[in-house]
Amino acid sequence: MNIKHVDVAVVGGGAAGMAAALRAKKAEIEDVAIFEWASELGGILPQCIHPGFGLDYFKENLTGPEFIQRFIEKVGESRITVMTDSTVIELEAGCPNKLLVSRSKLGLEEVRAKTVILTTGCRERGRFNLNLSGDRCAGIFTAGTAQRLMDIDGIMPGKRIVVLGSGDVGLIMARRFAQEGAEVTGVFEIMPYPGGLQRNVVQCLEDYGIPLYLGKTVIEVRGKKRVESVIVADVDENFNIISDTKTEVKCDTLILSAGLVPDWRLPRILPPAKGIDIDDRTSGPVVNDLFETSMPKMFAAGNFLMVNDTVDDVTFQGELAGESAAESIKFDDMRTNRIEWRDTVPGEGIRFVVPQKFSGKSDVRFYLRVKRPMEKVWIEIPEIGKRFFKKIVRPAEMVKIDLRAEDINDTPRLSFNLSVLKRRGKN
Amino acid sequence: MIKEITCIICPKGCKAAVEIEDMQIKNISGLSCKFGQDYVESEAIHPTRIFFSVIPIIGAKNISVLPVRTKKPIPKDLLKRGMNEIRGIKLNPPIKMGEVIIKNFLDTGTDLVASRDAEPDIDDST
Repeated sequence: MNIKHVDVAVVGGGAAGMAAALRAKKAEIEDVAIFEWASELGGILPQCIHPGFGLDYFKENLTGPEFIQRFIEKVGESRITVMTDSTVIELEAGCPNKLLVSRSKLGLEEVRAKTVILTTGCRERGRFNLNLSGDRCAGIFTAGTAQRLMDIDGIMPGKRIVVLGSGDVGLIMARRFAQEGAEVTGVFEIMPYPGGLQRNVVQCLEDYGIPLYLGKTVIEVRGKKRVESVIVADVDENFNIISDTKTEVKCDTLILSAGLVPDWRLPRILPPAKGIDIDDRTSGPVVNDLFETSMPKMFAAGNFLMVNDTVDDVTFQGELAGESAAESIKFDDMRTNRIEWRDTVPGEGIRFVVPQKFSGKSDVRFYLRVKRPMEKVWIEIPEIGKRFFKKIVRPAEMVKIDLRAEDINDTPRLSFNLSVLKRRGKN
Repeated sequence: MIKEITCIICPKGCKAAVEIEDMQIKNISGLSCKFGQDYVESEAIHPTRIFFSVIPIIGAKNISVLPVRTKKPIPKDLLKRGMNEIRGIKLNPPIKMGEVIIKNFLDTGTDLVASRDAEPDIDDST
């Protein structure tokens, strides 16, 4: 088998992967390679044809294809090795790390890499993740699959649409279906608040008069060959179905938009390493403030690290991982080995905090998600006596807290707590 | 009159209260950046949206439809007419990102442009 040696192997050629590769290259790392299982770079963005991308990163309002083409062009101009149609199927940690790559038409190849950056993105929760019972008929798609069919392949998946879940992709697809003349009966969300961003609720549903039903869910699919209807029902505060609210809704297509999860399917991570530590709250890897996983020389960024709201954040994370990977090569004894990593703690009202570990030696941007929507709150970090006021927080919208090294210097840990505004003097 | 508008420029979703008198904006409150200011001003008086869709493209690599957008936002009530306007068009590669597909789209003064490159699909199996 052909063996290839690289300094940095980036697994996944979406926004995070390309940003990471470009940053490593900029730090004068010689051999940087991107492995991408699809036929072209770009990840999910080529199919996200709506605007709203790049507002933070480029200070421009771009569509997904426009945003990502800028990166594809930059990668093309740099001396980064790009391997498309190339799936990393196995990963064995070590010095060097070993990657087994399945390359379409070329067969298997082994790659040895000083560092690895995992940017495999996330996947959608499907019918069987949602325990959705009923007939196994055609016409059930995840929102991303419907998006790919419509906006890459030019195929209309259905005419009478029900959307289950109000995640961003679902809202965006509700609008796409309406634009193309399909009848969108409604978006059904089990939670008492929408799962997607506010701007998508406004621009995708309100603009097109598509109803959003909160506290309501699809409990059964009916249809012989194709979906013919779904049964919807209200839920109580413990998410139990309220039986006498069951209603049949006619449709030919059910679109699922009920959450995204970091994609661990490939590569398979092999022993002897104990595996990468996983944070149950994000379903992504545990990382330190260099975005290094529990496996030294293995980094993570983007939606594989945590499911993000915007590609801008994904890109910033990719850049940090790329920088860290470059640094770990330049300083081979890796300063990380000598650092005692300290823990962050998601406290009251906080679902997760990333990075999960920090050194106290550098400035850190912490990404947080709250558990439920709240207005006028403080995010308090008692260990360093700091708090940040937020007019509104929502689970759908990531909270970012920037702390300076001098602020966190000596603290043994950092916990983040949400508390409602109390009348007292300014901090 | 006070119009409540949810700002959609960024994920924050600020709730703006716009005070309007005789189609003139008197005051806007509740926003946290200048991008939002512009958006809320125009949303209150004449709402606009960037029009986007896809147009079939024959013989392109990786894609069967080409994503397109208007360079600038157009009046919101023209979005439906925009969909009719592009119906029936078929494109051929090569096309470059930013290339004009329809000039002065619906007489709005802005062009409909390609959102990405499209290269011809060359059969590389031989």
